Amino acid sequence: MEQASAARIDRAYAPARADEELVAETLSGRTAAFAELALRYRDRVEGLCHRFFADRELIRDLAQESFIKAFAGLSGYRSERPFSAWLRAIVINACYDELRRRRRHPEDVVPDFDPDAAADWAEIVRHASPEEIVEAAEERREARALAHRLLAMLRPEDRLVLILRDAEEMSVNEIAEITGWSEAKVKIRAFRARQMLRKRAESILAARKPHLP
Amino acid sequence: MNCFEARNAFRSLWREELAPDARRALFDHLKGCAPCDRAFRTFALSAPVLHSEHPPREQTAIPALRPTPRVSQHRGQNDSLPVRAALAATVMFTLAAGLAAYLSAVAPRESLDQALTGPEPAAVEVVDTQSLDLSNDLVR
Repeated sequence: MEQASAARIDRAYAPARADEELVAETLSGRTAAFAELALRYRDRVEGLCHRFFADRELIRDLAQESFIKAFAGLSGYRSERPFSAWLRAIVINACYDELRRRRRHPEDVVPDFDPDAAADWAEIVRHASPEEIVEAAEERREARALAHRLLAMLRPEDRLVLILRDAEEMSVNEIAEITGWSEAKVKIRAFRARQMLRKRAESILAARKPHLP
Repeated sequence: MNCFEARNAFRSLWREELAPDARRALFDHLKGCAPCDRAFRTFALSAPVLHSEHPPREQTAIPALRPTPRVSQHRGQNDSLPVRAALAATVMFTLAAGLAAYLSAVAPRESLDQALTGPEPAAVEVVDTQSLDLSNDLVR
């Protein structure tokens, strides 16, 4: 038993193994290898979900759903493509499906939205110096909440393309591959989405007492 | 810094990736250029989601599996085994963390919640605690 414990400790401190190696182990029946993959990517997966939604419960659910889908579809993974990119596509699809499900209820995107706090933040963005805005934004929860509400005013396709192109810095080609859209459609949609976002943001800033979504 | 350079630097500024000189130059530009200043403010409204490097995440269930309080309680009763107790705790935490990640990856949420709150943590079967005489404290 002690030897077994020692072996587990050795494994715990062993150098990180390649994703593909862990995938192969999982497929060969040692499903615990998938736990290592899940642990490795959990932060990144939740971080990506966080670009789409503010609700932490929902983010955890989506991350979990994505890992379940990845586990169930692992035999379809081909190692010519990085595992991270394959997993990311699964997460993006899960988030996009959820966005479409909620398209008629944008208020659900930020369940505990506080209009007064958000209005205070909008006032800061209107009047403070750029330096102060940058410094304050990280600490203010309402800055994120307002950003989510602003993005929720866009159509799911527009929101998706903005997040993938601007936040995740994916190439047009990568986005086209994941969404099934043509590259031209990705470019046009990204352009229109940025325009729409800018208009919405300007309308918030232009109002004397900011009109919040 | 011109307007094109300034607007291209918004994202780096937000992610704190700008060198101090470039940061200063950008702020100076924004002070003297109303269109860029307005563009920065509209950018700032969506930037907390679109341009933050690391969206905040709260602690998930894994750290809750740490058995440390029970270990420290026991150490007072059995000082001759502190190293082994720490070792057992480390092994247990490592296994429990892996198991929790695995459960969160492959099982529905209800199952994970049950694993975390139920009377029989799944880590019981894989940790040799009998030889340490800590089994009751650690795995209950």
